[in-house]
Amino acid sequence: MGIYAESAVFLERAMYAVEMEDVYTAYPKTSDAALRGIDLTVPREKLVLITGPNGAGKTTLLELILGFLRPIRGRLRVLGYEMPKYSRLVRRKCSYVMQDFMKPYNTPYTAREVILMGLAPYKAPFEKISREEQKLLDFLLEFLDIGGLLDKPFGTLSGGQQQRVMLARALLRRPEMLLLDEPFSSIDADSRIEFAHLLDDIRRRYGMTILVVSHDVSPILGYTDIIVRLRNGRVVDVE
Amino acid sequence: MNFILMIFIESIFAAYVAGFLCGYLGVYLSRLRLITLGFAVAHGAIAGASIAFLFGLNVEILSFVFGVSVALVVEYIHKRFDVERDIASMYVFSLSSAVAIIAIYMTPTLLLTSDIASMILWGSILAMTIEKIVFLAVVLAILIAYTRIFRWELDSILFDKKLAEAEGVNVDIHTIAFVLISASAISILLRFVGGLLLFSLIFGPAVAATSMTYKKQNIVGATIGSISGILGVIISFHFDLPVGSTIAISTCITSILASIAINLYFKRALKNTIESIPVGHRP
Repeated sequence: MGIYAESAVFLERAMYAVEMEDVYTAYPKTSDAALRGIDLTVPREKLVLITGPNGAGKTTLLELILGFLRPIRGRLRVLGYEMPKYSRLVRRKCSYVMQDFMKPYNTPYTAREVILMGLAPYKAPFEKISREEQKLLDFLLEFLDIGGLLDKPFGTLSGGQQQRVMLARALLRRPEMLLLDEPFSSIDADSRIEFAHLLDDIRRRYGMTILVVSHDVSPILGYTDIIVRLRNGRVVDVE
Repeated sequence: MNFILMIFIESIFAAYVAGFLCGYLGVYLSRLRLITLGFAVAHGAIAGASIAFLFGLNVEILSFVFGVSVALVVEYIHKRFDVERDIASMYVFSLSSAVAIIAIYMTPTLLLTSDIASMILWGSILAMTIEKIVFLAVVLAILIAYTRIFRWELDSILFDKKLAEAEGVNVDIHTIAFVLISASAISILLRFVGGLLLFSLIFGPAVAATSMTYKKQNIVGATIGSISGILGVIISFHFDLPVGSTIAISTCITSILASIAINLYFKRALKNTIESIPVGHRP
């Protein structure tokens, strides 16, 4: 590949977080496509809200982006990499906060351990947390107001606290793209707007792309750059 | 040294190492939800041993090869056909049990009644030589080193397998590593504990440890396993019973007693805490 072609690829990678051209995907052992003919381009450093009714394919879209599902037709590139060929590489560059992520009380890890585990793919054997990572962790603890929870067993935290810990874990990885699946579901109504503001703040501060899947649009509506509406596995509207 | 005493000491060492290894390994297998796979591997190893026995081949090598093959077949079925690992394990378990029974059925009666056959089925104290104890200790050292070296990844997988995958941890490679270590341990322990009861030494301490404590479950499992192993050998010597059965019984009893003791401890600790709160402030 010549230097101009390489530069073009580099620039394209630098520009878009997600590029989908007529993408179809299906869950294993099903005869129906879960997502159909998706055309979507997400520029980097944007806060994108993906919304739609239950069963519209919101979580499926995130699973497709992370390479858990394969495109059966069309072309998908995430952070400039062809998927699913570069799934593992893309996953290392992304952070995912799952829907209704609640662990039982007997989970044998403290909140601190759960946060640090997120660094697993980047750590050599016996490597400890670096000074930079510690600095970022200290900042995140204050930023997310979870400093007092660090040494508590993860399973004894409330749903909202667990979610904040998982967000700290996701951010400590310094991802290029953050994917959040129904982040408002375990947060009380009063804290939702505060949480949406926090996401916007994170995006501005770290310059990362954030994809938020939520059927509850009201808390985040004022902060989003792009809104993608899905219905029956199709994109019905992008604004 | 007295010959019997020497065998006794060797068996105690073997039981200690075997129990520690099985307890330590079992906690990981249990938390990785690979218990059924471990069960299938153990029965695959019996099939290998039975075939080795029928054709006069090396029992350890063939049981290792069969144990690993069973695990790889289960993983292949699980991945290729998107069948739950537990269901795939049960299919392969049935198949390997059938192979083992056919091989035993075809074995000449004279051989079948020999000590070697009983060793494979319900274990023997005589089976553990110094070399095999050393080999087991090496497997244990590899397991401990592996869990220390890859602590970050393993903790992440144990916490949540899907999240670990989503973060780019190679879950498959660690699963295969555990399967290989399990197959190595099982192929050696087959003669000592016996194929039919070996699984209890892996399963019992793991279940007790994971229900007893949040912290250091692998060490708790290993401790229960080694105590059970030693007790089993002592009972076996004393009452002249098959060592596999006595180890299985002692594992069950030790695991249940340990769980009861820890529950009582926490009940008492909670009661003391509540009593230390001044009256009127109690919940």
